[in-house]
Amino acid sequence: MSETESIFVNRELSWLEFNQRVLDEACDPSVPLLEQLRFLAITASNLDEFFMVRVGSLLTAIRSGDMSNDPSGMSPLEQINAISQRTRKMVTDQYRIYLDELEPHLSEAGIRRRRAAELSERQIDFVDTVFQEQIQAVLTPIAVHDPTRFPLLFGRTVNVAVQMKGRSDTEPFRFAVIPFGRFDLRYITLPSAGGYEFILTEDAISLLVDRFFPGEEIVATVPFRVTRNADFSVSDDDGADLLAEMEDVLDYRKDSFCTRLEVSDQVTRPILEFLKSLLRVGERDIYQVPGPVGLSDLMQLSSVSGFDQHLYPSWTPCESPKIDPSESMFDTMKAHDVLLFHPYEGIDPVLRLMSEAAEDRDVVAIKQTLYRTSRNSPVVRSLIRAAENGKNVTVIVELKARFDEARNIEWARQLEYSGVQVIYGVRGLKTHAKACIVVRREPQGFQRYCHFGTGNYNEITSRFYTDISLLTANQELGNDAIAWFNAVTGCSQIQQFSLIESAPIGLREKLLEMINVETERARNGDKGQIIIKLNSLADPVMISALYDASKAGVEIDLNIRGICCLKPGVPGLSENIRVTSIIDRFLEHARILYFHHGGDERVFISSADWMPRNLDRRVELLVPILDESCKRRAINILKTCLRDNTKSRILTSDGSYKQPSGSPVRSHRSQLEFQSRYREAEQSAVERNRTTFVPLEPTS
Amino acid sequence: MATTGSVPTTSASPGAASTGPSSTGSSSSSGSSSSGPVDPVRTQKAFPLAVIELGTSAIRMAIGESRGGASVRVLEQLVRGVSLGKDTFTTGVIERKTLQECVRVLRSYRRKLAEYDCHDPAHLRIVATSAVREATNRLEVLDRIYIATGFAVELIDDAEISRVTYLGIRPLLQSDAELTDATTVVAEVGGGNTEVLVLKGRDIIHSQPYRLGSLRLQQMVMQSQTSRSRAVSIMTGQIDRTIEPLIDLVPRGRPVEFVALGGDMRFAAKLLGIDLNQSGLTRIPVAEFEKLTNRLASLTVDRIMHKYHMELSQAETLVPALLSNLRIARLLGCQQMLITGFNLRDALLQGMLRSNDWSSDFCEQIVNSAVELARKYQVDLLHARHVAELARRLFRALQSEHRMDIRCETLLVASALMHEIGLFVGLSGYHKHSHYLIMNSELFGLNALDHQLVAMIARYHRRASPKPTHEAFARLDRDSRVIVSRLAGILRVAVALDHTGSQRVRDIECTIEKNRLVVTVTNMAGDLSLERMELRQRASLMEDTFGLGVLLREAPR
Repeated sequence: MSETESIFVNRELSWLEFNQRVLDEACDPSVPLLEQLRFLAITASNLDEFFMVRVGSLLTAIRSGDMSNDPSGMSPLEQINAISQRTRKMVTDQYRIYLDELEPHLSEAGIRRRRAAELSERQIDFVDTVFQEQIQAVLTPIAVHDPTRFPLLFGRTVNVAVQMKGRSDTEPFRFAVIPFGRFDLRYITLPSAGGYEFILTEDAISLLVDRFFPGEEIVATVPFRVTRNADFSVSDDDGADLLAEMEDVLDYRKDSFCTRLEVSDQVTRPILEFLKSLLRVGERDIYQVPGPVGLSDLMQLSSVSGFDQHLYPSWTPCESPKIDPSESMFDTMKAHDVLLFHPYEGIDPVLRLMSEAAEDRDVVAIKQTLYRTSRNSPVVRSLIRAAENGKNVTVIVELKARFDEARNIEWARQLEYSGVQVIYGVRGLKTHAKACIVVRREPQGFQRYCHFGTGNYNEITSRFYTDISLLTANQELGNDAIAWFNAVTGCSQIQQFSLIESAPIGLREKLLEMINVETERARNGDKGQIIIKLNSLADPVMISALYDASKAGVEIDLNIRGICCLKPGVPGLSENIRVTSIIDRFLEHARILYFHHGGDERVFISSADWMPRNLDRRVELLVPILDESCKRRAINILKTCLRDNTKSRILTSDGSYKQPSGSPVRSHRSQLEFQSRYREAEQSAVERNRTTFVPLEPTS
Repeated sequence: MATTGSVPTTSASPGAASTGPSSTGSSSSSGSSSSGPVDPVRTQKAFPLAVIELGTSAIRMAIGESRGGASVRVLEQLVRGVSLGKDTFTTGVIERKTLQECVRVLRSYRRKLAEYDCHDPAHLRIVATSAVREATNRLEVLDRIYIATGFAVELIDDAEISRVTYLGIRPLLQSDAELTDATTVVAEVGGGNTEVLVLKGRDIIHSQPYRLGSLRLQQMVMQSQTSRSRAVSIMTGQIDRTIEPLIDLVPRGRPVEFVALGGDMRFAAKLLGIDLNQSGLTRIPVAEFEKLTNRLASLTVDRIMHKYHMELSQAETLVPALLSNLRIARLLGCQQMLITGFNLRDALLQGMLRSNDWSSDFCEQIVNSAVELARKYQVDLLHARHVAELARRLFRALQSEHRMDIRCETLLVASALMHEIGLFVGLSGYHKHSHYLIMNSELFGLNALDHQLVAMIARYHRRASPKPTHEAFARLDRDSRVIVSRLAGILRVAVALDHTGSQRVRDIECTIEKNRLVVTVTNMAGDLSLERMELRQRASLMEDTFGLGVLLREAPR
């Protein structure tokens, strides 16, 4: 590595590499066909968000004249150019995979996209009916006379640009736009003899577009899609009404500047010039694509019914053998801590704790954080029921959870209406920690039951995100959790915790301390070992501490799903660091940290990735796993992930990823191993219970 | 009914005497919940209890839970910065805005109390220290808080804080073997004042508040608009001047240990990487503490706030508080200082569970403090101690008549020990000198009222009996007036019994026969004429207040 070369990988390029690894799944023939399609849709959806937030942020920096370099030494402009270059290749790959690989295979499987010219007469009649009944009634074309006075278009929705012949020589063409807006009919299912046939709505429109413009001569219709900057936040420092401000943000997001224009490569020159003028975008931000715009919408197609053979076999989460369903969660947790590994194990025990807490007459208070949750969330229902049952319920609803703001505003209002004390996050910070505390009056005194998690309280995502839940009645953790909650809700100043750590207070320091302890041990000739599983590692301070640890001889294994700005295996810098990343059926989301600590192993779970925003600008938690059995399980999870040589990729020192080399003696695919391991454990527990007979005896 | 002087006084708990004078007057010293007997319900079932403290820079709440017995498990500790002291120590008045903030915090605490169903007033104590106590609009403040929150705030004085602190740290001091024979100085630097206790072994020899407070120092420096290094120098000078008299209270030639209490010290311990617990004392080298103090003193308040995630009110007073502790350690010549996780609210919580704060050990500390004061004013201690012992026996003998508790007995004994300190000024009217010397001295463990009662009992040990025309006496409430009259009546008899100052009347037995208190001297005391003569002059107050004449008898040979 040359002296001028940075010791950090650029985080945006690292993120794009992550998206590439997801895209690799879309062209992996061993992955079921509709799952491949889903992976493709995920990469498109990821890119949408990337352009909204990261590209938006860089463009904002450029617009404001901020030319400061990132830790890898790149200026915002250099980053934008590099992103543009890398993304173009990725988009080309996406469409190649879709058009050349997936569509032919889908067609073979019976899922066929029909272009307008391919429709049968019966299908044309059907489309005509749909057009009249659904499309024409809802969509309104807007004629454009002056692009500066044109109504703003929603981001991430499809629009159709229409080019019409002008009425005079001075006006060769006239333009109109048909925005889809909130109209969510992305495909029209066609009548067919077999299989599933569909036509894209924009193709149907192009077929019948003259109905919108009687008497006009249509020259061309072209679908396009806009992505807008979403990197802005409310100023919550002046004590204004945050709820109202967040609603303003949602409005503002609709008309913020355009970060990307996707347009069909069939676009005519006049339409392209028209769109550039309308949306004020330059060549760099325009992506002409050879297929449908908005590949993220393919997600809907991946769940079309009747083609289950092209999906992964359905997975029903196992019941934890540590939990007796006939016993209350309070009794279970009092007996021992429980560590759940989702989605291999279900989130039901967590939901059951909340539900029991809502009904239990001895529960006096429930305190909970909500960052993202599902529609009709059972967690929210339990909280509402608890409040209605007279419990003191306090909920931190993070209104600033990006893209979930609208839903969270809705929850916040519902909860408040039911008598829940709602706190809209913390001023200046996002509350990302996941914790729930139940305070229960028991004969021996007040007892706290806590749930700490690495994932959101969302029973839907818990089925396909890998996450850890720790359920504990440990009183010291309970004391810390209460003190933390009091601090976060503003009931109290920040106080010292005994066991947990929280960002932005002492989490970073604690992690550095733990790394430094390993470094010191290694320097003294003792064993130093660190295993970290995270979603992202981008914090320069933490990376530097890991480099120091590596230089001292600490063995470091990092299992980082997404961004990793650390360069492993660089002589003299990071020879002892290995970085792997797993992309598989379930989204790797658990954050587990292991430190050898001279044999007195320390294991933590955390809500925080190692990124500056998480460690400095978010409220996050680091929670130790104290129970020996839970600790062993967590270590086992880490080791299994590190053993993966099928869905794992190895990060090289230049920031690229490669497949594990050589032919392994035995292939390991961690997610499959977890599935079989947890299913076996569940079945043996069932077997054990089956052999127990409990006689019903008459009472004497 | 006949009663002998050997009746144990502990049977007279304050609560048991609920109809007598002893049931009142102690509320501010021990809290409504601590002056009663052990509630059998409390000892059997877990229940929540809480303490709220309105301090100089923050309002703190501790919610605890009793699981029976005298131990409290702390459930939650809350702190919210409210600069009550900043107002009081700069303008003398708590500003409306601060009061509003105070009410807002107390309302949020009330919600928190509701979470634990902590509604019983007997299980809730809300106290305010110097910031509210010294505010000229304190009554307005207390009324506003009461109206807005329903909380009746109790102003606690320095003596009460010392008392509570002592009771709280006593087990820690006793658990540390190195403190058994040492002189120990216990100090808590507050925002307004610094409470100092000086102990010899386990006995308190001095209790002294100093007008040295972290917030006062901070305000002083802020007003002087000076550089940081100069500010440290100004504060050091001010601290040294204020605490200088402390060295005179510490016996020379013995090792001195310094126990530094307070949240700032706990924070310093954290920065030094020390894990404190509430059940022990941790030693830190003063040199290390000095380095830390200097390091913090070099930072701006903003930097401290940001670096340590502190609120402004805390960050502003951190360095003044640490500097004060450092200077005390240096003044005492200590190489090490002791820190503990203990805090005032824990002690108040524990206090709420005690059936009787006037434990024998605590009373002994009050008596020690009285002895030290008597010694300071060169009282004939042999005589004073003898009178005190006689008074104690008489008090116990008359138990069925007065139904007073251990608190009153302790007040009587303390008065007896100090009744002659006025002689230091002059013979003429020395009982009045005794009154004002006691009133203007520090006595450990006595709140303002008890302090006043002790001074009055000593004042009325001779000459004029208490009269409504005596202004100070007339200002007392009825129960306190009864206490003064009765205890002064007993003291007069005890003084008469050692009128000769020779302690020849040693062993007495007391019985009540019809309308007479018969005092039988059982040791060979010789002719008791002098004592009888003295009794004729001094026993009238006893007769007026108890309805008992006093008959002195020699035991049959």
